[in-house]
Amino acid sequence: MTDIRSLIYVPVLHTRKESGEILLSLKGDKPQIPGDTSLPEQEKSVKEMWDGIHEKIQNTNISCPTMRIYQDAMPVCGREKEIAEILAQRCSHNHQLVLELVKKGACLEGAEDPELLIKEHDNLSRLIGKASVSIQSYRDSLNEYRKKGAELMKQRDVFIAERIKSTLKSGETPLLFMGVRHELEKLLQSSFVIHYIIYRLPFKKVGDIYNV
Amino acid sequence: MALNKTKILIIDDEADLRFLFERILTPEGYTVLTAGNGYDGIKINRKSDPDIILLDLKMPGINGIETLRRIRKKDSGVIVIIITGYGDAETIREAEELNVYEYMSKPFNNETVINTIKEAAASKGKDD
Repeated sequence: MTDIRSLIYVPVLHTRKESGEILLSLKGDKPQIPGDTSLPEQEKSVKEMWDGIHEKIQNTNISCPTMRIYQDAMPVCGREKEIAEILAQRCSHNHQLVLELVKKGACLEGAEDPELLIKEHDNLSRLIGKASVSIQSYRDSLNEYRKKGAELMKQRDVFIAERIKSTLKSGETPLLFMGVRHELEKLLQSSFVIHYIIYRLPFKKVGDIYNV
Repeated sequence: MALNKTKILIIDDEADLRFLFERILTPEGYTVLTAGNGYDGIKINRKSDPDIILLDLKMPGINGIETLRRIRKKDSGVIVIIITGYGDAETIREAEELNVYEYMSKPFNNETVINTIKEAAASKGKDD
């Protein structure tokens, strides 16, 4: 009988500011994201979300040296740790936690196909460009972005799932930080027992949710 | 006791939790209504028009997502906060599509719940 391995899945929300920073790390140009500066109350809720996740991960008692981290929007590029460091310096609580785990011995693995991420970047940049036209134009484009983005997200998820299966080593536990729009569990539940870590997801505070 | 006009409906099959929410929210000045299952929750929502619903996901009969789906057919404006011990990625996506205010997991911190309710009420302009 084959043992089915455990996988830790952390569904997360990225703020507009964080999405902007992640995109910046991909192509080096910063899109003009409306509301680019987090509101204090949004920042407070997001910090609480990550503090709660931090505590719950500590309570899993999984030792960091056996942990392999797969982070959404982290391209397979050989610069994964450097990207995490840049984003952590720009106050991404997500990447600060990733780096803390890496410092304790966890391995950060590139998770996403860079070419698919560039497509995501382009789609989101187009959407954001509409924001300078009018709120209605942005809202209309947001719906279109979500429809188009669903197919791209499926392709990204297939890549991530294959990446997890091909890079995970014996004795390791995969730890996934994935935006809530990913549907990775559908591709992984036949190979892993999925354990979720959820503390709180402040949807309204975060506002529009992108695929980054 | 603080005075405010906010009406909160708790939909949870665990009587202990309904009692706990009543105990922590009533002294804050909220009017608290309770339902032990989704069917009763939908009926009370129609009849009493609460401002905020605290909704459990795993309940006998219809689950929380189905309860919310039925509530949303007639009431797109009520603020819904999900509090669950059994979250997964799919229910999170469904909850987001059904326009929930926040998704929280059990066990919860009383202060966090109260603060979230206060913020939600303020967003509707009904805080004290």
